[in-house]
Amino acid sequence: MRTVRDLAPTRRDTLRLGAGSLLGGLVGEGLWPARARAAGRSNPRGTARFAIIVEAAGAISHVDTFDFKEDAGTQPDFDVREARPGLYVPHRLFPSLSGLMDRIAIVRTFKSHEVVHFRGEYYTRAGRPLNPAQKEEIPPVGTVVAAELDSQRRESDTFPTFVTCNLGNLALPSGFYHPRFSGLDIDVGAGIGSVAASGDALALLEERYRLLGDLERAVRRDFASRGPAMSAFRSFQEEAYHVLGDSRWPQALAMSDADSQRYGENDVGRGCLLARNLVMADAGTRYVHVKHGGWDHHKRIYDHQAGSNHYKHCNALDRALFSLIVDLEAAVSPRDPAKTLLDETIIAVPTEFGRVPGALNGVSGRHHYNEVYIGLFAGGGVKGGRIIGRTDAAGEHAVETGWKHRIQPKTENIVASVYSALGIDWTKEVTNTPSKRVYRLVDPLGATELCVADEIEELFV
Amino acid sequence: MAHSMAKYRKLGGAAPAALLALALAGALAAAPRSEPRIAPEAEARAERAHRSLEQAPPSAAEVAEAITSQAARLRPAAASDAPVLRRNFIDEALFSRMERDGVPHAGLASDGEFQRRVYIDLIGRIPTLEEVLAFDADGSEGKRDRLIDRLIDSEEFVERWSYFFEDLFRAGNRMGHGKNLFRFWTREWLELDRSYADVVADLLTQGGKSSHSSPGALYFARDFVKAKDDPDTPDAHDLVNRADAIDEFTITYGKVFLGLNLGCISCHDGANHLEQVNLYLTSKTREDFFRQAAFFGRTRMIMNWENGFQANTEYTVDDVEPGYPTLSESIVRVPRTGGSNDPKFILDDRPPDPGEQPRDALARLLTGHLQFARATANRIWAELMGVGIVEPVDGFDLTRYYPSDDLPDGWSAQPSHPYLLDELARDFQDSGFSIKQLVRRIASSSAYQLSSQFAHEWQPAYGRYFARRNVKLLGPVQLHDALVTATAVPGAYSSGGDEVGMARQVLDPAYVKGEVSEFLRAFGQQSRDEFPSRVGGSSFQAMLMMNSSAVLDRVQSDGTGRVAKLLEALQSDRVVASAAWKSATGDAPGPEQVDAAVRRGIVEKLYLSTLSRRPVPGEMDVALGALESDVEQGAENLQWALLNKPEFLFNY
Repeated sequence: MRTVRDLAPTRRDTLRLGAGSLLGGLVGEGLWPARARAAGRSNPRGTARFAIIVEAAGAISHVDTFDFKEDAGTQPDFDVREARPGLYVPHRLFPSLSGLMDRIAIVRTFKSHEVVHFRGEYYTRAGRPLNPAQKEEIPPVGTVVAAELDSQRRESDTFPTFVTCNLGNLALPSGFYHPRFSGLDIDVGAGIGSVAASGDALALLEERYRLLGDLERAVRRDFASRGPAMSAFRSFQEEAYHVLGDSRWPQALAMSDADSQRYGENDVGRGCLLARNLVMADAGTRYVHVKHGGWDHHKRIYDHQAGSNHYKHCNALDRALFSLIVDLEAAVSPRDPAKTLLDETIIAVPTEFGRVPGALNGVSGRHHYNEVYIGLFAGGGVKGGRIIGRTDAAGEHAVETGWKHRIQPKTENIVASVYSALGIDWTKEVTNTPSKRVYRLVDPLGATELCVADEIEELFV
Repeated sequence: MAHSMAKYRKLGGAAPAALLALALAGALAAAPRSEPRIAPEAEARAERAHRSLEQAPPSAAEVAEAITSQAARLRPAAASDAPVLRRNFIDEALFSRMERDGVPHAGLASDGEFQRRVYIDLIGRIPTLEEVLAFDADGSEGKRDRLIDRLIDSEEFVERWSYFFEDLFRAGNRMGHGKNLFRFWTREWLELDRSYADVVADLLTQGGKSSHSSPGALYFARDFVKAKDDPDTPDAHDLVNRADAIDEFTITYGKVFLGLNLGCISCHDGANHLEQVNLYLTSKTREDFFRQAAFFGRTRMIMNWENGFQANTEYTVDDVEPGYPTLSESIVRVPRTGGSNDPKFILDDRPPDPGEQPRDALARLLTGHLQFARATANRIWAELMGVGIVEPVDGFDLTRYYPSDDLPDGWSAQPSHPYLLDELARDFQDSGFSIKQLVRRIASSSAYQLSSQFAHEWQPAYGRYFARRNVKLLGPVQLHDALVTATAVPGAYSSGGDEVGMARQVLDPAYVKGEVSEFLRAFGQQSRDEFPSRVGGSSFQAMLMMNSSAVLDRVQSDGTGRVAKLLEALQSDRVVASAAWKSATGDAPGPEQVDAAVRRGIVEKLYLSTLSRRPVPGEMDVALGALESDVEQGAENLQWALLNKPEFLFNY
């Protein structure tokens, strides 16, 4: 019946036609090109092509996980075991990851500027503390990555460089960067109908898109003289059509039952599975930010009956992260047969701060604590099995920072390390921001105290 | 249908093309929601246009031609720099300046363009098919002004602008159960066109229980800042840091009511920080900020406890504290280091009168200052004109307000038209701070009604002259409601106990779930934890327009929307077309002639309802091609394509 389609150029032709305008300079709102000045003080490693950030939002209790301390809060059913020489992990909480600790580096001495979530989560996503005066122009880390790696996009790349998962309303806009560098947020729980088409739906889309092009051509001159915004939207449509028309896209979004079970049917499981698929597709996505929310256990942290509790969250993270690492390690890099995809993907698990060590509070929970907190790293040049930094017996303070600097590392240094792995000079500065304040990719002017604008070298060498 | 048949008899011997067009228009007009009318002038015009065809029986091609020549009439007029009528002081200011500087400007927008624009801007949706036909048929003088008046007086205006102000006031989940009350109150003052100065005074001075009795208290309480956990009360971890909450609210009302960004000086003095950012604020200190915040220095918000639980969006607001604590701990900004806490209005250093409550004084000083009227007028101007006279609208630099030779190197005056903005502000004051009058003033200027099409070579510098209409991507709510109007498929949202179909009626965008929520967010809907912001285009938006159920479900031929109804009416359209043909020519038309006429009707109605205009001949050919093999699939595809045209997505 669809005779129109018989006349249409093949999708391959259309895609090729569109590619030029996809990569050709789009004009529109936002600050692009950002005027960046390389301070030239850093020498990024470039060990990774991809980054996957699994944000434990709500704050993980460090003393109950990867900086385990036996204290008044320790539960008898933790089943603590020595995962590696000198590394004790509650097996009940991390039965799978316990066996994988030679792939994972732990930093135990992070210190946070923040003690409340709305600022803490912002800190994790923007890589710097919230500055109310500047908030509107500050991009999330993934947007910076998308802009910095834009020149590396290949003609065959159709996926957005920056994808987020489960952020919803909390996704930060692209700030002073062009909106095309904003993250595509995918709500893996709600289904992916609006961002994927396949089979008949795709054929119909092709037919309709061709009709749109024909109708546009019929009046092109009329709307060309009304400024660039409307024609720029046509470029966005081409970009979107590329993604939707790319058979790799629905594949990447599809989640088999077997995979879902292995990763876990929850936010972090689905998010990590999506991240794996996007990396394996190697179709343009370089930075995936997965939010794993609900760690804020002020009350009944160890109550198995509570809707959200520490066991449940640790087990979900355990399963998702384990599957992600194992799958990436099993996949040979399409670029370099000597490497696995894990070699080319840096995985970081940040959280916004720690939780109060020692005895539980009056409602059997743990409140916020920012003196020390943990972070996990794997892949992309990270040396597994490392434990960086040492805290005191109670898990209250850092005894050795564990890196070459005297002050404790912060979230800024997680960001610098990810930039470094991706080959981005983290000392770069953008000078033409709307507020005219210089934007440093990693800003040493923390909210509560200075920090070192440096990567955590000890992760890599 | 009776309506359209009556048309027939009256026109008697007119040519079939005109009859068909009018018959279809009449059939559409019979829809219950509006009172369309085909003005006598329009009938006469139609007759004149087709008299020439009476010489010989028309061919199907001629019928087509006749309809499309009508379409050409609805096309936008070519841009020109012909002088436009200066209709008020806005036009005097803008066009005199362009004349002085030799800047060419666009001509007036066509009636059709104006109508679409003013519907979107004033009531937040495109006009319906019936409204397009009725406005087109109205040939009388002053129809634009009458349309503006009618829209401003409509309930839809109240809904659209209530949503606008609820976004501006961030009336979201931080208002808890009080949102209903707040929305009712916002709609009420808009409907009554209460003085905006009085409305703002309410927001600054009310106390009481925020969620139940007092919309003003709700506005202050929504800015609560959680304090650190208190070890002595372990089960209450949502305590309020009072000074931080006051700071946040001071920044809020500074932005919203004065167009000032006081956030910077809430942490540090302006000097040595803001020289490259805002010259005015370099003269202000953190102590000046404390003293501004001190107008709320006595004010508390006490979290309500109900049934043993804290209700962290419900507060009781009163004024019994000793003053703003300039040495208290902060969890949001750098430590407070002390200073005076005597209230002093930041713009003119005036303190409260003796015995005057500080918050009453603030309301008096703030709403009495010209900057309040300026900031408000500028915000509404930016909403209607696409860009403010001062940008950003919440970033006034008052040292650079008027042109001056004393500014440091590299700085120039900030506003494009400072004296015009002053005039607008005074006009707003003189009107008794009437938002409706402000909207009317701007919308009825020729400046607002310029075409976006520009005949000369465009220079970026012309933008600040407002030399043509600024093309704007539709806002999230406007776009949703334009989709609803074009496809006649409303949404289904629960809003404060009501079922509503338009996004602008939703109590809180957070109540919209799933794909539609994703859709609204992509086009810039903020969560109401944030200030509203404008977004540019993105490929994600394009992806959703192509593939979201918010669009796909609305064009289904087996649904209840526009496409489905057009297809249902096919049989009756055929009867009408045949009758028209027969009465004009005396012969029964062939099936292919009837088919052609009926399909043209479908194309035309889809264009009118989606793009608020008729197709040009080239478009008609392409569209008919799409309907050729499968009219149902073709009609779906056609409306999908029209909805995806940038022309639909933009307010031009």
